[in-house]
Amino acid sequence: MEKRKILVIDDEQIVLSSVKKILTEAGYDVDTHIRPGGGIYLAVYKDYDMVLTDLRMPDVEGLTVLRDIKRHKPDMPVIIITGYASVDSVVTAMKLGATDYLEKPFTPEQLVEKVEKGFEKAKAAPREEQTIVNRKEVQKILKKGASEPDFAHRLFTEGPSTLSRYNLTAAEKLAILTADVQWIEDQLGTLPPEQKLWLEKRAANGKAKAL
Amino acid sequence: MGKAKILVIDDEKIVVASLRKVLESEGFQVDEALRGREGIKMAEKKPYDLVITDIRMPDVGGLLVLRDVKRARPSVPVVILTGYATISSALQAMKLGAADYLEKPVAPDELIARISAAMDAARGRAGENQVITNQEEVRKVIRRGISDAEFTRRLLYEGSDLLDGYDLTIPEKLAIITGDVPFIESFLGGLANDERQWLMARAGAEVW
Repeated sequence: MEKRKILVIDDEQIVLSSVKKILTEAGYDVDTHIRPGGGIYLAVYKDYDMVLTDLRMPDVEGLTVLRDIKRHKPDMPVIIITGYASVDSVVTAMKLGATDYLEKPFTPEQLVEKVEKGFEKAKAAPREEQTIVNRKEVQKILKKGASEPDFAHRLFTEGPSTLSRYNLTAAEKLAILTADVQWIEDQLGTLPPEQKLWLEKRAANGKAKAL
Repeated sequence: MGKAKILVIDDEKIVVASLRKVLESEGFQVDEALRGREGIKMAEKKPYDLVITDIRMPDVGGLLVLRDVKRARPSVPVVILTGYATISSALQAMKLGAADYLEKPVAPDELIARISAAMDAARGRAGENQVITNQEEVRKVIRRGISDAEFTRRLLYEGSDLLDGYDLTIPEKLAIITGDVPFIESFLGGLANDERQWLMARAGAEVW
């Protein structure tokens, strides 16, 4: 049987090396990437069976990695690995479609077990819609963000909980939180300048502080 | 549209009173139960739009509430609200079908936002079938528990995480970790004595 391919994304080389060693010994074919942006590209355009990603990385948040991979490959199991676990980040990651969550430091056995179980769990997981289905709701938030500084501020500082009362899918929340102008415009058409500016500012300030 | 109906299950009167106040001020209709079993019975009788439950209660814990409410009404979102939040119990709750997991104390705005989102997300979803379809897999876990003391010990500490490697639905996992003999026997037929005993020991075990 062909080996299952796993991609590991983390900004610490030592983590990448040790995870690769452990999973290779467990019989998996492992690639690593130290830059989240490049990691997303690989996950989307190459043929992996699972992705493991850190939650806090310098240029792109783990949430963005989760978003981009799930958008292109909704069935791809993504396991979050983090040294900064919190109840909030667990709950948010799971609501957004993560397969599992593993705290650093972990033992080799714990890592292998999570990966094996992740593959099992992924078989039965329901598929999340990766298009904008709640168009009016997304438009409402864009309008609010562009016109209400307090809402925009809360979205930046509090992340996903600010959007909890809106009827949005996980994919839609991720697009707003990570200021994904292109994906939103692809589906809603060209946005009014003030809304586009607001999203672009979010993207530039970055790092939609969601997890 | 009528008011959304919410059931609050918590053994602390002060918590229930404050949740009621917040929820009613937002126009929700609120019922309350100070015991887990009482809450389960109420949820079985009345179609609530959402159930909020504590984890640690004197008679039955939040895990059993989650299991029994889901069994009676699979599409009702169940939100866990706890003063003893841990990463491990949050992860388990989410994997076992909780709609959300909140830490006490929770700010009124946050509470309203999260339960509204949970109700929105549940709308139109049927919920998981409350049956045992993977009968052989359920029996395999029970047999392993009987013969493998280490597995049984880990099941106590790790809960449903340990069952992720088996081909089991959420209702099947919940039935095993809460030692629900009647439910399992209703699908698998009469269990052997050692199987019943092993499950009954699970029923007495502390979960979460």
